[in-house]
Amino acid sequence: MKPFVSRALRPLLVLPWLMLVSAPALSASEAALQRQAYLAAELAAAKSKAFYLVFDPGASALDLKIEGVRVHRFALERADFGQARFSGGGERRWPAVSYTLTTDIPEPERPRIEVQKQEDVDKALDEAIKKAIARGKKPAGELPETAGEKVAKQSALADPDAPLEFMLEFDPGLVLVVRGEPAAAGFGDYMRRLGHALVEGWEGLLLRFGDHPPTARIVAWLPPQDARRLQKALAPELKLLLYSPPAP
Amino acid sequence: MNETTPDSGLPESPPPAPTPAPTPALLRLKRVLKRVLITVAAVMLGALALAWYGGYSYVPVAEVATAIPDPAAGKTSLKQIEKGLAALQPKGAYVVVDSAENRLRLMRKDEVVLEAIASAGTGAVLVDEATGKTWVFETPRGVRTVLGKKKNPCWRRPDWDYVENGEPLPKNNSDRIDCSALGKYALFLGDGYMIHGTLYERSLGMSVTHGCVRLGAKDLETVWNAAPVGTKVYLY
Repeated sequence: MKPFVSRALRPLLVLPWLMLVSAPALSASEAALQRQAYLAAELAAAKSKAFYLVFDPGASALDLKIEGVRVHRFALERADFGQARFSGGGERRWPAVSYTLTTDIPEPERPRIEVQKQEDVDKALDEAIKKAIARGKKPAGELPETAGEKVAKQSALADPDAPLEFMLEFDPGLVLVVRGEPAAAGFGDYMRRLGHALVEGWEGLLLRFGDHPPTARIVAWLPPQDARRLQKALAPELKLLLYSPPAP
Repeated sequence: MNETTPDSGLPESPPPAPTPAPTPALLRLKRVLKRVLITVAAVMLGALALAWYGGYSYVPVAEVATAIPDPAAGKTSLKQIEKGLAALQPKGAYVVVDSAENRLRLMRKDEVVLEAIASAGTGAVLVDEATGKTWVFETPRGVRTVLGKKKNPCWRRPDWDYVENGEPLPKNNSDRIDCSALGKYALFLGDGYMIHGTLYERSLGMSVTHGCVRLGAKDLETVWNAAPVGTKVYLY
C-alpha cells in the first residue's frame, strides 16, 4: 500500500504539534515578563515616596498607593479602552506598563480666613460660657464657632463646584478621561454619552488636522465623590502603572 | 324645499369653494424653508459622520492586550524586586489619614483595626495684614513617621494663632503655653504636625484644623496605644 505521506515529508507532521506545544509556553513567558515589568515599575514608584496610581483592568479599579501600600481603591463603575477610528484599527494594546502624568495640576482655590476681632472673640466666648453655666454644662462643650469652622462651612459649599469630569494626559500616549457620573443606564445617560461621543469625535478630527498622533484613551466612570477625591489626589508627574497579575 | 339631482334623487351639494391660488411670496417662502430644512439636515448628518470618523471605538478594558514588555525589565531578578517591595511594607500597625473625607484608619497589614472620624486641615489661607506674612493650613500629603509621643501635651501657640484671633503677640514665650488644646495625647509627625485630641469634638468630620489631625478622645487613646514611635503615617 502506498504511504499517505512520503518518508521525506514525515518530519513535517511534527511541526503543527510542536507549534501547539510551544505557543502556550511563549505566552506564559510573556506574562511572566509582563509581571516582572510591572513589579519593577512599582518598585521604582514606591521608592520615590510619592503617590502613584495602579490601574487594574481585571478588577476595574484604580488604586492610590504610596511606598507599595494601597491607601485608597477607586472602584470604577465602568472603564472602556478607546482607539481612534482613523488610526487604522489593528490590535488593541496598552502602550506601556508605566506612564507619567503630563497634564498641569492647577492649585486649588483656597478660602481666606477672616481675622477675628479680639473684642468679638471675647464677647462670643463670654456669652457661650454664660449659656453653658446657665444650662449646667461644661463651658468647653459650648465654645463659640472657630475661624476654622467658619471656613470649613464655606469650603463644603464650594465642593459642588469641583469638576466631575476631567481629562488627564499621560506619557507615553495615553489619555484618561474621568467621568464622575453614573455609567449609561437610562435614556438621559445614553443621550449624555452621545453628546460626549460627538464632542470627542470633533476633537479627534481637530487633532488629526493638527497633525497629532492618535493616542489610546481610557474612559472611566466612577461615583461623583470619588471623582472629586481622585482629582484631589493628583500631583504633577504622577505615575500610573498598569497592573499585571501573577502568573496562574 | 330641497333641490334634488335628476339621477339620484339626493340633495345637490354646493360646489366646492375654489382654493385661493398661492401668492408668489408664499411660494418663495415655502421654497426657502424647504432649502433651509434640507441644508440643516445635511449639515447635521455631515457633523455626525465627521464625529463618527474622528471618534473612538471602545471596548471594555479587560479585553485589551497587555503592553509589550520592556526588555530592560528582565534585568533585575523577580526575587530582588519582590524583596525590595516587601522591605517597604510597614512591619506592624500603620495609620492612613484621608484628609478629603476626614477619616483616620489604623491598619495592620490589610486589616482595618480602627476607622475613626477625624478633622484635617482647612486648606485655607491666613494673611497677617500688618506683616504680610501668609500661612496655608493644609494637612501635608505623603508619608510621615511618628517621631515622638507625649501624654498630657502642652501646645506652644504659634504666631498664626494670635493673628487669627486678633490677639497681640505675647512678649514672653511662657505666655504661649496652652495645656488644654491638644487633649490627652499627642503623636508628633514632624514640622509641627501632630495627631492630637480636641476641645471641639463637635467639628470632627469637618476640615477645620491648621494642618494637624484631630481625633476624638476614645479613638485617640486607641491610636496612642497601637502606634509606637516609628509607626508609618500615610496622609492623602
